[in-house]
Amino acid sequence: MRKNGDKTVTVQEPPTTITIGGDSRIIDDEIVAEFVSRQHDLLEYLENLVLDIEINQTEADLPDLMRFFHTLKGESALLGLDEVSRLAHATEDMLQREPLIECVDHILDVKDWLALEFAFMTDEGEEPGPVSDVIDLLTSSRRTSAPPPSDYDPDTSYDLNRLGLDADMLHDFIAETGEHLETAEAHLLTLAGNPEDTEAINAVFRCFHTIKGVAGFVEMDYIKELAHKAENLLDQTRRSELRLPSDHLDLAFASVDMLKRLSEDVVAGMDGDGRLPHRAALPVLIERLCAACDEDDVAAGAPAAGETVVSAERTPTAAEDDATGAGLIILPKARQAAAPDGGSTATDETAAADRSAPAADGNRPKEHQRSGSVHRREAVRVDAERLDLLVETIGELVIAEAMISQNREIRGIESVTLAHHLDRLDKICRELQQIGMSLSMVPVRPIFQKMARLVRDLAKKSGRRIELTTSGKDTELDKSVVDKIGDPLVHMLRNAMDHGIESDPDKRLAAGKTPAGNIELRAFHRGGCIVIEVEDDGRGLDRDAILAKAVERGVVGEGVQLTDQEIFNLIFEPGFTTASEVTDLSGRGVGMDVVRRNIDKLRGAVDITSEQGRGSVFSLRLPLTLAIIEGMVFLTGDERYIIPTLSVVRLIRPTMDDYITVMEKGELLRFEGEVIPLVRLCEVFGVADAKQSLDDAVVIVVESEGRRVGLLADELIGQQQVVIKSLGEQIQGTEGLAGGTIMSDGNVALILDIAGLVKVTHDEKDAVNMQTGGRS
Amino acid sequence: MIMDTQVAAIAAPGKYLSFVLGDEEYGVEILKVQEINGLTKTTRVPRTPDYVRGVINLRGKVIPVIDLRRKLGMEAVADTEKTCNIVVQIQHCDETVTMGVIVDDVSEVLCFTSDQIDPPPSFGCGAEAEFVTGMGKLEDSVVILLDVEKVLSGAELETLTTVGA
Repeated sequence: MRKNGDKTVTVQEPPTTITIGGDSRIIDDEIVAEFVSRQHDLLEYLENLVLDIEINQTEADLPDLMRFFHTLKGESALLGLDEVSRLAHATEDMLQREPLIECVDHILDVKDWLALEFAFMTDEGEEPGPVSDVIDLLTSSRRTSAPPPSDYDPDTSYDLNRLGLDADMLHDFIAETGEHLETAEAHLLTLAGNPEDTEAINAVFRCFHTIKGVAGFVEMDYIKELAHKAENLLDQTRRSELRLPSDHLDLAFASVDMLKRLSEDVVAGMDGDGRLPHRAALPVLIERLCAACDEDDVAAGAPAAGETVVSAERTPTAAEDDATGAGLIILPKARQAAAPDGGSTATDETAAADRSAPAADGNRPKEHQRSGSVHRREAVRVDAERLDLLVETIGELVIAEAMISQNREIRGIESVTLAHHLDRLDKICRELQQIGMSLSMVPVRPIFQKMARLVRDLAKKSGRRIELTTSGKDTELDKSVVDKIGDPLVHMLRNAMDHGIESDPDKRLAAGKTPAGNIELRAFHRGGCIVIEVEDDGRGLDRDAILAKAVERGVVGEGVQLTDQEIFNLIFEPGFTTASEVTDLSGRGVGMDVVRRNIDKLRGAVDITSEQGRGSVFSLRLPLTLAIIEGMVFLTGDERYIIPTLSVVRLIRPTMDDYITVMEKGELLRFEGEVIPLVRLCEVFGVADAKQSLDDAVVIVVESEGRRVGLLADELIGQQQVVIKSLGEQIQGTEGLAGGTIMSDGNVALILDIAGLVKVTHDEKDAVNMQTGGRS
Repeated sequence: MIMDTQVAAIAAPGKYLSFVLGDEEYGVEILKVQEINGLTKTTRVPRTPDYVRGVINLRGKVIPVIDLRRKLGMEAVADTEKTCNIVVQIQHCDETVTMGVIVDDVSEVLCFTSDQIDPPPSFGCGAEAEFVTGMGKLEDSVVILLDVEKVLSGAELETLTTVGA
């Protein structure tokens, strides 16, 4: 490490080297990534909060909002995310200035911009518009905020050469600092688990103290300053014998990290030209430390002792907010300068302490329990690949278990204990499979929240009053499913708002309804599926209008008798719309097509029930997971195939009376007043020795995208859950096959892709009908 | 090193697993071979070309199995006790693909030096010829060295996926 020991240090170097600008902010990518990934949840939380505020017309959540933006400001500044920090700052200003209710739209704008920005940072979206646009919106009516003043001159960068230090001394300094930082970090981690461990607080305090000392010795003033502030922070806690607040813990961690980076800079400087890069985040951190110390002074002096108590008991009023609002700026100087009336100092300061205490991110929801709507369980981030591997391995275990317990030789053994053991093994395997499946399950809450926002925005835009109630937010679905139901839900809600709810409140009143439209969004379990329903109390689907339109478009022949369900299903046809004009919301006939396509992809189903004048219910039936499906196993010839149960309409044993042929080739079947193509699976799949006669065989009527087909098979074996496996890159694309699964006997059975199969057969039947030429 | 050229590169010296198809002895690079299994119950996959035997369960994974005789345009024979499934891992579209290859019999692992490998003879017999990357000379016999990646991937795989359509 001492390779630079002989480096000459020149004192004559001009002392004005200043490094400012993009390059100087060398931020660890990982830290930024971590920050951004956390923001996602927080933004959702924010949105929820704001929507609550609007619904309840209350200002009770203002402190929460302030805390949110304040923390965001601090953190983003620390990470050098200037734009975010500026925006958060401007939002804070606005919240202080304006009545909360009037800020709601702006806050949502801010949230949107932030969401875009964070998505952009993780390469998941387009770059958002310039932040100044949003800030302009917020500050439209008044002065721009002054830049935060600072005790520490951030523009000065240090130059090792200028300091005129012996390299050996520096090395010792670095080594010593490194050791102390490690110790400090270890103790901080202890504190994270037990904030009342005074021994650990003392230890961390000693570390910062020593670093301060040695930094002073080598004239690293900025390091000394930081260590000093960090020391103060801990000293306060130490003396007041209070537990270390989590935000202080975060600050201490941040200080340790910063000190580490600073000493790394020194090492780099020694290897390089002696200049030390400018750390933009340093002054910010120092300010935060100062502010945290000041608050503690006040908090300790407050009669009730302890800021949490203060925050819980305080019910802020608008007037009080105006008076104390200025105190929200964390920088002490700014706070004093901006507080015009001085007010009663004690109230001001405690309020400031309460609101500006930057919430520790992990603990944030706990602090917000007051709002009642958010709680978060402890979670561990796991690499998705490892998770998949685990689930896959569990799947193998289940198969292996089935092979053993169904093995003929083992079953031949007459032993009570063996039977017991096998039962136990079976039980554990099942449990393990349940757990494995639950690992990738997430609640639908975020999606529902997004929808609440959407409804609100759309209602505002179209000038209608709509009340959305949601239930079952905690219903869990596989993450891959949750990710894909967003689009369909958007269309369903738009549809309900535009076509469902009457635009004229008087009409609603006349029909005996509330003037505001009601939409209910709910999720629940039913029969091994998850059902998501959108119900509106609007005018309902106009059966006749739909039918007329369908006849007009030639989708349905004239005079055909259709059930309500069949008529309602027509609205899923691409381009189908009864709307005479295209509005902002909908009317192009694309939406419902999107719904069905997406739901089909998820192997789900859509049902509509509607009563004219009373409203309609759109319900989505979705599988719990994409990896496991409920399937019907059947035989054709001696081959086993599996049909996803969700696609099955009915099993029938048709008689020859229902059987129709077209030109002796195309086979059709009468089913529930409809004529459906009959497909001999053995023919499509080239299976030999399959039953040919209708009398022996069963017909499985399946449905996909509204088209029904009867599949002729030999025999139904049963119904079971199967784990879908890819057939391998090479044959995965085979039409009519969705994949394979491993059956309990260890062999592979193929799962049919009903959508593909229906398409193939329809196309082939069409071809037959057109050419009247035979198909092989 | 194997050069990535369009002209069939000459097989690299190294270890080869040799196997038998009829009276002929073939070799594949040992590094591509994952394992050798006996025949297990194969599930036929409809609407795929005839050289696709189907899919098998390889310890919980479903992998396709190719009948090499049919793939190389040779006459199909009934399976015997010696019929084996060589599980190979090949690169296809930047992904590692595991596949089974059915051969008549597996013989041994052979080591060829570069002077034991002759370039493939030009015997204009259609597309199959380009799978041969060299002739490995032994004292009393010659081993046909196959580029298993080429046999099972590239254009062949493309057609495989579109045959069903």
